Amino acid sequence: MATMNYKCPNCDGPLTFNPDKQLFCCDYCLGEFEPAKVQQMNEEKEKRETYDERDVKNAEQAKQQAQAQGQSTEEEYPVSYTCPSCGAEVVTTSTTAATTCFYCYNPVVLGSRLSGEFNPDKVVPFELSKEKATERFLAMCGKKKFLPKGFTSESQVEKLNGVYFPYWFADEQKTAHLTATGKKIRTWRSGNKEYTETRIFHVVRGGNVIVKNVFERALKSESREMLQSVHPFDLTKAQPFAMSYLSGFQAEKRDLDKKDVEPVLEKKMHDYTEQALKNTMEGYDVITTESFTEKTDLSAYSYNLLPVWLMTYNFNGKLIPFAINGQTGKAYGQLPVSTGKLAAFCAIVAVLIFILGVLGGMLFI
Amino acid sequence: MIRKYTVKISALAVVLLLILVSVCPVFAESDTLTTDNNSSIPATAPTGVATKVIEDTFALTDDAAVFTEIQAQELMSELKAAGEKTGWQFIIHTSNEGVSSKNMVSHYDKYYASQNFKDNAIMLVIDMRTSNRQILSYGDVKSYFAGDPDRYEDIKSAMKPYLNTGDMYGASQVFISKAQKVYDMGKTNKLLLSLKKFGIFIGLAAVAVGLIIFFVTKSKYKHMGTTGTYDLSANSSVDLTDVADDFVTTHTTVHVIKSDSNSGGGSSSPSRDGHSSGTF
Repeated sequence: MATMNYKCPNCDGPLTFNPDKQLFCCDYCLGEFEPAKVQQMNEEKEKRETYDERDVKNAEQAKQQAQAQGQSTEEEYPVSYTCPSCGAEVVTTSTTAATTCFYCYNPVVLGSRLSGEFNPDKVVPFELSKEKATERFLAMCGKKKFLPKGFTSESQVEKLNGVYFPYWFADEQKTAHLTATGKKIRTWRSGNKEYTETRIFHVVRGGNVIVKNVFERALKSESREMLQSVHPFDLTKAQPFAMSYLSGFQAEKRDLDKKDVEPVLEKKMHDYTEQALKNTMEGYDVITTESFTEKTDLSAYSYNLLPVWLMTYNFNGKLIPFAINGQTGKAYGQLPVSTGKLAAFCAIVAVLIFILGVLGGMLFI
Repeated sequence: MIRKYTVKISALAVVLLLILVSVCPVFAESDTLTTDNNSSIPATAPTGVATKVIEDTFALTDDAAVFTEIQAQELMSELKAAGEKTGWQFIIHTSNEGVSSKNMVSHYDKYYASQNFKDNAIMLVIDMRTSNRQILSYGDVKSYFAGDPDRYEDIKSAMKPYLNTGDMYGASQVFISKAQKVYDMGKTNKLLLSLKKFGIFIGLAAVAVGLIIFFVTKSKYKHMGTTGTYDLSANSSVDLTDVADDFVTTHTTVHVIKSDSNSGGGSSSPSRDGHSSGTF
């Protein structure tokens, strides 16, 4: 089966990546190992274990058949694997690339999901540990008085999962030319008159523009807003992809191809290139574009995995996602509001205002 | 689940109660007192005898000689009974001094002070020359009228039919009985009066504030954190090969600023005297 886990060379216990130390750690013998060493130790094993795509293909075929028959494609098609630690059956969705065995809680990496064309170029390892992510989450919730009772409970916080989400990134070098009308506006007063002088310029900027790290999500099943809003990530800390980084976390395989996101990324790069040229038109109060042309000289797309601490909360039958950037700690998401609590508070405030108002009114009688 | 809905329903009920309390008028005690018009005594013209009797519980100083001797006796009897019941000094004063309505209060305040009346007193003044009438209250009696002009209005409106026909005796009797009715009603309840006067506005304002807090808080919870931003300056570089900034034209517009000639006038607040009164 195309599953594997990373074992401690000292005690054979499971190895997981520790964001605080940026090392692989064994919770049993407390051994610590450099990522390069773990990758070197498991290189052969990864190759051997990740060739079998049969289960994934079966799931994808089932999905394609459903699409052809006009059925909903939102449904996930489960695929089962065997846990290499305990032999239990691990059931995952067709995009899951790393998870935890539900029986022995050992990390399981489904290598076949990230092999071949789905092999990411880079991965940004987690820098924020679960404890720190929890602290951030609780610190933010601590100020909110109208959260539902169980939202910050221990069992809820336990649901905080480290997930590597797939993104497409694009870098382009362009030859671009922008002509615009620039206005410099000066206002002064003399006596009871206000003068406004507008000087108009014909402004031209042309040259080579490089725009890098323009991103778009590569997974359609998750909320686009949430996946886009946990940015920015510092991509200078990205590492060449190695399966071992996924150990101890969940990971999702992309289900959006380059051709799916290309129009969105091209549009973004077009806008950014124009804006980059506009930014060089300094000293003008108003700039209006007259014409803009561009020619792409070099283009490079990459598919990377980025770390996100994710929690979903079932509130009134609706799943609410809450995400924290696994590198910077930036949080994003909707917080549920206990309408009953809030309504009671507002009613108390209204009653207090009413009482104080009536008592205050006595002073005017 | 049930508890959740109970909290919501309770909150809703409080808000509804607030609205109801603020919208519904507060009813004071109903004024059903009928005037004690003794028809056996004829309406009086100022043909009586000047009377001046001052006792602990009442005073009748009929300088304008409005009342006949019998009427005066009758009134004194009623004034005494009212005074004994209430502990107030009931005063009826008539005059031909011709005091203008503007000066009635100050003039008869001085009169009250000069006569060594009791501290807690209610006085009906009838100026026959100007046809001005005034009800003045002193001491603890003020607190029976404070903030509730309806109490004065009630006495005044009951007296009016008699005054219109020149029946000062009948009007005086109504004054005595209505003043006792005010005593029976007790001191004015400022809280109720405030509720009656401002309740609707304060209630609506309170509900509005509550709703604003509700929706602002809800919207604040909706989105935490800013949306993802792309740092263009950090992720782009420009190597310019063609740069031009050619001046084309200029134009200037002139806008005449209107001087602000409206100056605000000062405002004055009405002066307040130290007693309750009602002119009619």
